[in-house]
Amino acid sequence: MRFLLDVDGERRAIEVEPIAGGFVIRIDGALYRVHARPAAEFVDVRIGAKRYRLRVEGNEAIFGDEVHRLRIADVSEDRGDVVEGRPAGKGAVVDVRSPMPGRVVRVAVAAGTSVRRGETLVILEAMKMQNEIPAPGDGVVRQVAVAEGETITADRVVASIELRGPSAS
Amino acid sequence: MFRRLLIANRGEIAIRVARTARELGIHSIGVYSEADRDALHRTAMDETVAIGGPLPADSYLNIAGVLQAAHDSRADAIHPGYGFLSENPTFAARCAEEGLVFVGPPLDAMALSGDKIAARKSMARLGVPVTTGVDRPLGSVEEARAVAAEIGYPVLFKATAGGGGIGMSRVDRPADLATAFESASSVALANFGNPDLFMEKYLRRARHVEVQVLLDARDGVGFVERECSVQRRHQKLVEETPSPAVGPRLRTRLIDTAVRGLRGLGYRNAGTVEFLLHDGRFTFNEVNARLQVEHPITEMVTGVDLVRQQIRIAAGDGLEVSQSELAHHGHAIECRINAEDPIRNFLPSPGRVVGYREPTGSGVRVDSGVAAGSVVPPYYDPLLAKLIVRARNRGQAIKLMRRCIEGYEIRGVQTNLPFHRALLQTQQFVKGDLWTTMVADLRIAARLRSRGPWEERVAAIAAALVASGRLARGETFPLERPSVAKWALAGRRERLAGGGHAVSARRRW
Repeated sequence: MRFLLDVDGERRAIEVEPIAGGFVIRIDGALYRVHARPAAEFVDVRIGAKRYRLRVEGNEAIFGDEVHRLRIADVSEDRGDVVEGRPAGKGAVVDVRSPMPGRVVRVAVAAGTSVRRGETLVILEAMKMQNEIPAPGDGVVRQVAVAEGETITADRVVASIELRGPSAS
Repeated sequence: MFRRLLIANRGEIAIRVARTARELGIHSIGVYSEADRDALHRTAMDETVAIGGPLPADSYLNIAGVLQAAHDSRADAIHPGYGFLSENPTFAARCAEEGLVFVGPPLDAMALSGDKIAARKSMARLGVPVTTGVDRPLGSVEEARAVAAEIGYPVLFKATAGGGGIGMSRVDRPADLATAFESASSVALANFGNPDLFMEKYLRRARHVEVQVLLDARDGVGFVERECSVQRRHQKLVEETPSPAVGPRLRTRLIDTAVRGLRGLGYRNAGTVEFLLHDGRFTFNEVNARLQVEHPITEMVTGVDLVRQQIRIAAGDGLEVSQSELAHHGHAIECRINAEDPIRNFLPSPGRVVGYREPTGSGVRVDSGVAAGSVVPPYYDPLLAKLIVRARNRGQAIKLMRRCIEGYEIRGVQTNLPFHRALLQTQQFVKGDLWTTMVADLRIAARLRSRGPWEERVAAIAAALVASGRLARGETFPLERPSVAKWALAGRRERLAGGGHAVSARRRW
């Protein structure tokens, strides 16, 4: 299961995978093994040696006498085979988004270019570092949505790619 | 003494310089780009002047813009901080033409330090041991190949005009040489406008130690060495002083060599001589002709305000310290807190800081460029703040630093705090067994799985939502514009700090 969770104004993309007695929770590459036992009023949660007893009421999570405000969105039951939020089947067109704001210093592909998984599409400079945005899979570039020199925001679509299914490659 | 000082920088260092200016009774003038309209450093100044667009080339690197600001604000001196224009001879020359005092070394000494080959040659002439290598730009791949064969692999390409670790490229085998040459050369051209490379023998498992020097017209002092071996891609992450690998006799030699070397270059003001320490022997690496990021650890163990001395020397008022009365007490460590996510290969993380709390206590200093509500723009380097501690000895300094890392809360942007937390737990760091590639060799960031207590709490909430079936029933609360519940934050901070009289976020009866 995947969803966006905003706690006290800070948003995170959450992936949940059930395991025996709990879940593996992934947050942007970090991994937490969480044991959770729901009771009538509380949920008892254990992460490593840490134990939490919390209650979710309305849009609030309550730990003892602390309250966090929650927002939840984009809940999906998808697991695993997704690229940037969409199923990546044969012929699927996926949007590749910028992981951070920055300045486009190089566009390495054009519409029609065949790309392999991991190949650089765009180089984005942020905080004096050049960051390569790679193709999420093998396929053909349908559209490039940014230009060299342009300053872009996080989550902005930089290109869309029509993926070749595993059978075609 | 100067009356009005323009500080041609941003972030923590601009604030740091302004603090000393205020203590000296000097009126401080800040500059800011369009992206820094609401930046914290503006609030630290007596006045501020807009100097241009968000890109560094349009603002903090814009010589004409900075000089115009100095003129309009009637500044009589300019402190460049580090980075940006701090080691730019053209800028220093233009300052002199405009009748402004540049707080830094004389033009010739700066130019000499900036040319890595010239600096190596000068040091060698003064009898300073230099790392094995060639003292000429390499004209071709063939020439590079011949030199590499002579000095033996692994070798290191360096940009003649380089700095900050940019354009350096290590080559382990002849087969990789051509590619490394081409790429290092193009990086050097792109960053420094000069593609020239030279070559040094690459020293495995070397330590990086450096000596801070202050020189005025008459006198000079060298400070107890700093060790800066904890690096990633040649960028320093953690610095400490003294070095756990240097004893009193080696220290005396390092200090003497550094002072003699800089004096030989005709240097004045604050400068640092970097050395590589390898098998108990040291060789010259390069000169940094500026105040350095890690200067506070030296200040912490010696009690000398380096910026104050810089300003005094530039104003012709001379040094207030002498080598014989200079002493150092205890051990200091600095962690650079960068807006980089160590779990995603140090991906830059600009954004808005929605929650911020600094650690405090005896022996703790935080030089920060941000506060709650600050925007971290994508245009500049990722340094948010420097966390500096001092204690009686190294072991206690490490413990104090660990406590400070746990108590440091920065939310809204990802930071490298989880990296520092993990580093300070490694056996090698604790024992003082440090080397320049230890971060990569020990896979410290690659082993990280958690970003710490705050995100763990988010994971607990996520698990509770799923376990209680809330999400399956489709109960979602739409995402709105992020808003921070101030009381909730304040309450949680108190709780995280472990305060016995914590203010509750909202007590539920």
